[in-house]
Amino acid sequence: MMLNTIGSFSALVLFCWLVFGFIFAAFYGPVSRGLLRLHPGHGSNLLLIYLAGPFLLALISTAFLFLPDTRVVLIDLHCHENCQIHTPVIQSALIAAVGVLSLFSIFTAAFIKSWTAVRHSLMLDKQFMFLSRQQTGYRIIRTDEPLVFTLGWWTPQVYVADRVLEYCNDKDMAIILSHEHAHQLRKDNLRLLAARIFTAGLPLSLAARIRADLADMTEQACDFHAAAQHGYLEVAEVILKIKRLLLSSGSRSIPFGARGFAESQVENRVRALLLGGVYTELHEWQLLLSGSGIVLVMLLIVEPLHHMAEWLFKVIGYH
Amino acid sequence: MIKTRAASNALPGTLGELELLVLEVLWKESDLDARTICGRLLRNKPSLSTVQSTLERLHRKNLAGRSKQGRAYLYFPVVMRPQLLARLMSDVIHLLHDGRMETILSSFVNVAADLDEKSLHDLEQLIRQKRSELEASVVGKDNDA
Repeated sequence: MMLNTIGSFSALVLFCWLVFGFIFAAFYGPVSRGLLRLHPGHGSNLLLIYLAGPFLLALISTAFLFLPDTRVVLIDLHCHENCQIHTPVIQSALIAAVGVLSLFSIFTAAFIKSWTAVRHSLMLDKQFMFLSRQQTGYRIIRTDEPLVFTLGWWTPQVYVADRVLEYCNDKDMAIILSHEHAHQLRKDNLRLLAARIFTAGLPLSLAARIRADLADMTEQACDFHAAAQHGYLEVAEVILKIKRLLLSSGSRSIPFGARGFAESQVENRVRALLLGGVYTELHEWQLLLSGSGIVLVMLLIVEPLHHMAEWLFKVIGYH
Repeated sequence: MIKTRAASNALPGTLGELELLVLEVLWKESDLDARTICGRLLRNKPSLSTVQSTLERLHRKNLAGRSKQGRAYLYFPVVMRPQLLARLMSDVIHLLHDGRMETILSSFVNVAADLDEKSLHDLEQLIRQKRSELEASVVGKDNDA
């Protein structure tokens, strides 16, 4: 019976994840337009929540369906006469096992995908640590490639090519380091990894579009962090300065088209900085209201979900 | 003494910590045998057989060469520190290019050549224009005051 319950739970989580994923993907267009109007710090946070939404909503709603206490409050009141407390459960052990295995396979695939990225990151981190030297707040690498980047997840490290140091004055460097420091604080590489996992089931073009939007918002959030200390136009100037250096280095100029969109991240960032404080900031009460709305949706969804599960299991003939 | 293998096709992306430490020893002094290298490794103190297999891996990756002297091999670096770093950077840039690094590394400015000279110039012009507007509005406010 335990296998049947777990199998039913897994099958329902998967089904809901699929349905919610489809709904969330269908609404991504208008949602993204709204998010892009917000301050990029808030926008990137909300986008990540939106991406996690289908899975979390599926998991929590299904858990409500199976937890005895919430079941009594949210579902059993609907029961007509002679109705007993019940949870829809697949009766066939075989079908239940398929449900468990499917969910397990998805989690295993996600784990392997993340672990591969973690391993790669750790190895690169070790090598860069080894080949660089420590300065206050960053590490210097001796290379002709004019790169500045933040590497790692839990304790990201900032690396600056000595060529960039030679090319930039103190103020430029302060802006660059402030931007990279924001990546460290926000743990942006971890967020991008989470986004990659949550978008794994989406059509490739949509997943790429969402990840590109998140990457843009993330960079803009860090630009705004630097701009709060150094000024919007100053940050925009440094971005273009480094871009010019990168393009003029020419040694490994990468042809445009890798992102697959006719947009330049640098251009978007500069234009966002030129708009400066025009972005809408979300207030605490708005976030609280949105959070309450989500909780309400989760509670209201439980009873229809119960009926849907009954119907679904009846259709496949195992309820 | 015959030196073998050229530096080509090495994959720095797969280097482990001990491999890096062994390379560092070889960069300081060339033509050392495994026992001497083992004695010079201050961190971790690996066993001789571990160092031998590490040297074998470095040799297979074309990062260390070796020559036979008597019954022992003497190892020397095929790739020096700047070359190794250049290869690593090349790997990083190509991984950034095809999107495989996006979850590992955030670059201050993306490496794709997604802006031409004219677009860069236009953006710089926009910044100058915005700055002029801001300065004009500050002067205007000062005059009003």
